[in-house]
Amino acid sequence: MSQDVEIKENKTLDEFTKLQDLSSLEGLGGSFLVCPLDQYNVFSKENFSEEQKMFASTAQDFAVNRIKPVNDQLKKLNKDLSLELFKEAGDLGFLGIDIPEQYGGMELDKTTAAIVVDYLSACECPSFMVTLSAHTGIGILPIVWYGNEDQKKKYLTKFATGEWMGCYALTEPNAGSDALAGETTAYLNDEGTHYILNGQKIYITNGSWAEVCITFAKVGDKYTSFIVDKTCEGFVIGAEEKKMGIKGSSTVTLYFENCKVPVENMLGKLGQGGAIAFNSLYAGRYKLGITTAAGAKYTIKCAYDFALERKQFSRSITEFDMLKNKFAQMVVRTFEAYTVSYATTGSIDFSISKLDKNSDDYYEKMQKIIEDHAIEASIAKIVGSVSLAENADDGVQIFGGAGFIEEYPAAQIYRDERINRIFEGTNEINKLIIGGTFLKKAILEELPIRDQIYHRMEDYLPALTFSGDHELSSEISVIELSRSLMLDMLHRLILKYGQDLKNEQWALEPLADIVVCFSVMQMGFARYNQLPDGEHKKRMNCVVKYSIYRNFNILKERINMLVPYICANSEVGDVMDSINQRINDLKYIPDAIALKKSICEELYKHGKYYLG
Amino acid sequence: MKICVLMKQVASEDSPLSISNNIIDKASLNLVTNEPDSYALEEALLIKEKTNGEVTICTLGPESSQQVIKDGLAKGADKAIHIICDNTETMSSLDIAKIITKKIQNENFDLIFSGLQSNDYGFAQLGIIISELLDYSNACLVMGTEINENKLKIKKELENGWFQWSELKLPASLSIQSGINQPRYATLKGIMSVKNKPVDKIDFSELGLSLNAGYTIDEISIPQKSKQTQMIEGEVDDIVSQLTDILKNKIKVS
Repeated sequence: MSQDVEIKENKTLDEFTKLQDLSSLEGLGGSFLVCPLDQYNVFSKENFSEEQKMFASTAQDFAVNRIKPVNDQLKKLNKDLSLELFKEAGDLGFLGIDIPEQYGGMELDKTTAAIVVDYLSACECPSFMVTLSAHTGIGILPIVWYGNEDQKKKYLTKFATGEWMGCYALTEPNAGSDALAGETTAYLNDEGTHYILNGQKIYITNGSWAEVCITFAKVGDKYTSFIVDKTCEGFVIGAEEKKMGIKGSSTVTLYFENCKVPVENMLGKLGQGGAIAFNSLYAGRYKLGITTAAGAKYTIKCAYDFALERKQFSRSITEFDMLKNKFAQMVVRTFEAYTVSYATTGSIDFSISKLDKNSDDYYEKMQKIIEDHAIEASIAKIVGSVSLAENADDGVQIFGGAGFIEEYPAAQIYRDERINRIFEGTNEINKLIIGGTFLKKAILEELPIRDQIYHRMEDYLPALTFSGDHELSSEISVIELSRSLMLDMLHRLILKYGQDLKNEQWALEPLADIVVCFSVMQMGFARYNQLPDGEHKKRMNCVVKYSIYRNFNILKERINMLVPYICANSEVGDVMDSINQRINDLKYIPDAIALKKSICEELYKHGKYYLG
Repeated sequence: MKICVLMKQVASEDSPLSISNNIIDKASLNLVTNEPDSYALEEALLIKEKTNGEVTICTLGPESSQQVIKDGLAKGADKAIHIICDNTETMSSLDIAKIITKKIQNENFDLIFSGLQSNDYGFAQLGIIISELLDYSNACLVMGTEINENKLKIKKELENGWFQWSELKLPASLSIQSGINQPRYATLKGIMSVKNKPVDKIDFSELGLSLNAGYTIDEISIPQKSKQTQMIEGEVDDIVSQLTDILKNKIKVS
């Protein structure tokens, strides 16, 4: 994102020959942006292998039978119990999914890692999930990817069993999202045996429980990563923060006061800290998409169970239509969060599966693939965290007065949820990543985005291979028109700002919103469309239709906002007329209320989220 | 020590039940491992770990029952026998015992474990009949096992909170009481090992048994859940004596 690129100009339209087979882009990050619906597949929950289903089931068993019963004790900071459960999770193999076999792990695919946190979330204890995820994600991955043989042997074997917990310390008082501005320093001592670290890192999840900390410091002007053992001289752990939510997890400030770190504990190379810091975060993002989707799912159950028992005007409040409206939207949001998150892990796995596991640059290539999916990872993080936030808010509302009382579960869900829009990169930072990466992939031609921009100018609604009587034929047109509009917006933004677009946040935010909405529509449709006929598909029909309806509305609204901002006054009217004309031509007028009624009816039949 | 654990797939307790023409719609059922069998499996695995033994799971049921086998293998069983049979609902316990016995009689198991009963039909007979057919010793409601140098001691549950320790000759067939141990969770490694463990699959018709007619089901219905309220009326003395009678003889407050 930060690298400056030269915009390739002067291509004539003829040079952009139509790519017949865009499906060859499968597994490339951002391919959903350009692959028309008839050439696009997603991975989804319905594609789990038999083995993955068993992983899911054992994770769920452990969550429901072991963790959930002690949930009340985990709500407050309870180090002993948290560590005990953490260790048990290690014994079952839940901590070693990303760790190579020779270091005690299993090195399974990213989807399996996602499945495990998905089904462990059935413990309904966000604090424990944060503890576990921080360890398996940003705690472990930097060493898997950048560690040398000795470091892997020393740390990963103990990380896999849960004997040691890891943490990741990046943020500083004056450096958060712009981590590279960090003020922590390191210098080599005269003997050449140790780096001496000075500085502090704040808001560190697992900070006081972890034996090992991955951190970052400047050696001269070279931003560099270090593995710091808790036992290192000069490593000081601050007091536990008093947080708004996830109170059962440890969050502290870590101080390095002339902290002596052996030279062999430098992670990666001198100056490689930036890459390590950022690449480690991508994986955390799509996993957060999964855990928040799971949170959204359990929030529905929690609100439904309460509403069913709660009587007003001598009937259950589930019978009131305004509550049905809430429940229906909660289902749709959960569906969306799950869809984009598993689409992301599936696409990453698809590409990783083609790598040679034994080649020396396996991990380097794996990271490249994950980095290549930066847009998807950020989308998963945003869609998941926002879905859970909105479900939690609706949940409190459904609980009514009881939602405001701590004795009932809604209040805690509401407080615990809030952090998800902040950590693993704030949602704002993730929008910058989405907009910036979209721009970069277009300019560098990593994807045929500019080809598509030109083709869509000529043919904004290309004919696809679906049969005319497809049950979602109007939705297909909506999505393809949305793609054309999205590409048109990007085109106009590039013309106006060039590569400075990445600094134009007024424009970049609505662009990112458009990309997010579009991805939800595209991936949701693909998930539905590839299902075999049957009850499951029938049940998903209304959900995917309503999802497309609501995302199309947001997308239109963002375009209405962007066009006057980026177009010359003289052309705004014409541009909007032309866009509105195309939208009106679709004659897309779904009965959104009827859709929500059916969704809610289905929810009431099942008593819980019913799409997996 | 060679141990066989009899396991069955049943509908989960929260499964939606739809009945038409006295037939339960199986497609709508959520199928799981019979919970009491999980305790039997855990007990077998504990003995296996102590004695360096081998645990074989045996199930009789349709293709879907292979999930029971997979779950058991994932938890640590070594191999499995799957006798495929689509409709065991109308079979008598004796017939089921005959089928299983026919298949396993030459395996020379030292121990055969079964859960106390199945959560669907709950006959609680299989372990006993099999011990009779194979001429094994038998114990039911087993609350604990101790194995020392091929000697088997078991703790049996009697009535009124009493237990009994007794010694049994091997081979033996034991019905394991639920709650005797803490069934383990499948580890991810265990799950991944499943595909490498042998499963002996055979259709029950290949066993060449002639079976009895079994049961005919006259009627199936879902038990009434509604609460019943009994009003006690009369003079105070009358009410008191009726109430004490109910407490003493109906509810049996002790």
